[in-house]
Amino acid sequence: MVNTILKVKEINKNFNEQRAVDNISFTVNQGEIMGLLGPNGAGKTTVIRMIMGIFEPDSGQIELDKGLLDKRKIGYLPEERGIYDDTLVLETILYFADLKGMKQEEARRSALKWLDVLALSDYANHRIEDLSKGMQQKVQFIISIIHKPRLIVFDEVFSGLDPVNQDLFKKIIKELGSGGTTILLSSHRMDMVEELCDRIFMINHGQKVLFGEIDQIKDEFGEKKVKIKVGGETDYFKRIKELNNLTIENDTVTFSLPAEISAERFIKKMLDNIEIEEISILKPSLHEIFVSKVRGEKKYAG
Amino acid sequence: MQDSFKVARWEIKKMIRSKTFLVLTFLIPVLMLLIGGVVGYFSSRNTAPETLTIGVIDRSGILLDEIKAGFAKKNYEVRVIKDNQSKNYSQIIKEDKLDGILVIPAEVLSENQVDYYFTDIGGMEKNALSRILNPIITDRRLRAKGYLPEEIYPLIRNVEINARTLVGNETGAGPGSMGNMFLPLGLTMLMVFASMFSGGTLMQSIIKEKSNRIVELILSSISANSLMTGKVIGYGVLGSIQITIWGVSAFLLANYFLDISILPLLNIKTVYMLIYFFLGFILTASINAIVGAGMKEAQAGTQSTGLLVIIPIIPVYFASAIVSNPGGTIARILSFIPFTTPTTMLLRLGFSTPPAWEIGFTILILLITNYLLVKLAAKIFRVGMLMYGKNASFRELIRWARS
Repeated sequence: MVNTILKVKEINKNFNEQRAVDNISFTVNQGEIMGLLGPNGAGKTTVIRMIMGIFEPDSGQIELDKGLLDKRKIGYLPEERGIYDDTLVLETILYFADLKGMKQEEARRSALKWLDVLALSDYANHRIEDLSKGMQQKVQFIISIIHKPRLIVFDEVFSGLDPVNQDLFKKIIKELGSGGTTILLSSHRMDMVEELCDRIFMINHGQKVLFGEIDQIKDEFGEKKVKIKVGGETDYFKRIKELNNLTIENDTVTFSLPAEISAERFIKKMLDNIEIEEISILKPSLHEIFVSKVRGEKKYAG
Repeated sequence: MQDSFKVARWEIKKMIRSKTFLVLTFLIPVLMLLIGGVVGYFSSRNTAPETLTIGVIDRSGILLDEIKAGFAKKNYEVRVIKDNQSKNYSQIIKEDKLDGILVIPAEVLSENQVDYYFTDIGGMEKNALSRILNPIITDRRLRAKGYLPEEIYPLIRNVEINARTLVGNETGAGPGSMGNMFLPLGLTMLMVFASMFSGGTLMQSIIKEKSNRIVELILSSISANSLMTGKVIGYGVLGSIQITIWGVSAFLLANYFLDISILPLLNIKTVYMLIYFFLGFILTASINAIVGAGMKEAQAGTQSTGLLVIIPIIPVYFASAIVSNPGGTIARILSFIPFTTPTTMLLRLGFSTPPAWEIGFTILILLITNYLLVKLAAKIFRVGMLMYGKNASFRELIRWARS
């Protein structure tokens, strides 16, 4: 049974008469890892800040776990990373755990465990400013998850991490999700979103652009990418005006097929004209959908 | 409120380890003790001056023995100098290694004038000389007229005036109230100084948390109100720790160097003073929190909003009016304007006993003002958090407060 943890209902936010968030609604289920996507300045951070209770929406509602927002039940790793620099690693983690209402004994145990998992045990009593950027990010990561929140928002959690640590974070995030923690993942790394998330919510100019399961979004997106290895001439493709993003490299031709053209009829017709050695039809990547959506929006706006 | 105490505890923990705090907290008493020690040392030297060697030329021919006796009591050495020398006085002083030459004229009893020559300022002992010469010459005059000096002196002694203040319904401290003035003035100065230092630190800490975005983490855990209340309380406690350390130093200083005992001054008024001190400290901290909440950059001292922080100092300019008439109109008006209440009441308490209702009322005013200021700081902080790259103007602060 699906248990809704976060329910965002028709929220709006204006800053100086400028609409930053325009009638946004979505839900996140328990144990789900949902992607929150959007170009820079789209209103993502504003949505996140309202979910975190940093400020209130002008109108609309945000429900957490079927009740009002309880800051003790949420964890947050902001995109703009800020942390004290002149304090010690462990005491800083314990302070934030304390603010989240965690008992000191339990917090200490948990902090030491996470420091161990993230290979920071030796730095527990070092000043944070003595740590590398990546290590500081691990400390912030621990702060966001130590109190076992029901909902965690990770904003660009992978930026600045080396591949080894990216994999480590990915593994922990997957484990949290399967352990029942709900995660909202905001990222520009489409590969990570595709790998981790079941559903995405995409926002642009403060408005909803996409919301749903990634597979379904890809099906609905329509444009399919076709890759063909040709035996002979490739000039044939240049004559077809309907093909998008056509590239010809030696004997390999790639293009995307617009939704209004039936793939079946297109291939039949093609077989009459050229010799095919290899053919594959790919669903669009999230990256392509993202770029196309943002460009499309801009076209309308301009 | 629980969240505020968590913040307060953290701020105290962070601050108490910082170098600026340690230096200021311990350097100031050390400086105080040093200055007190130096002053004490020199003033004790002054009351017991070194021996002077004084040459005396007695043209009256009658006073020499008495002068010798009088100078001997003061440890002055007297050298009789012949009058008709060809050398001038400065030569004699140089050759005989004298500090000065006293010339008694022939008609000293009627002329009432004596000349004293000296070359450097160390030989200048006018008052000491007149204290020795006065009784000798007066005695002579009295006896010449047939009076007995031992009968006359008790009759012409000076009247002593005992100053006792009468304000409100309590009698003032009476003679020796130097200590009573010392405590309120000292406390007032300490409050202004300590609260300005701590307030500045608080402001920096708020600006820093804003500019390095720790705020996002904190505000996703607790409300802006709890954060601001916690910070202001934390700095209030820090101020109290500081004042305790300074107070103990001042007590030692007063006891060992200035011979002023503070213990008898510890009464109910001291308790009031400490309350005003604490509330005044919180007031300055809150004002600084407001300014910090509206600022983006740490170095914004020239901003118009920066002027806000000098408000609590205003009564210092009225200090003489308050001290000379602690129950007067100016003093009472300043007592009821929240921003000037702590300093004014500290001064008034030191020099008078204001009516109980005024004490109660002003404490209430301060409590309410502090509460509202912290709320205002929190509001400005929450709105100002979004701001990038520029400091808020005074007008913007007001707009944010309204939003």
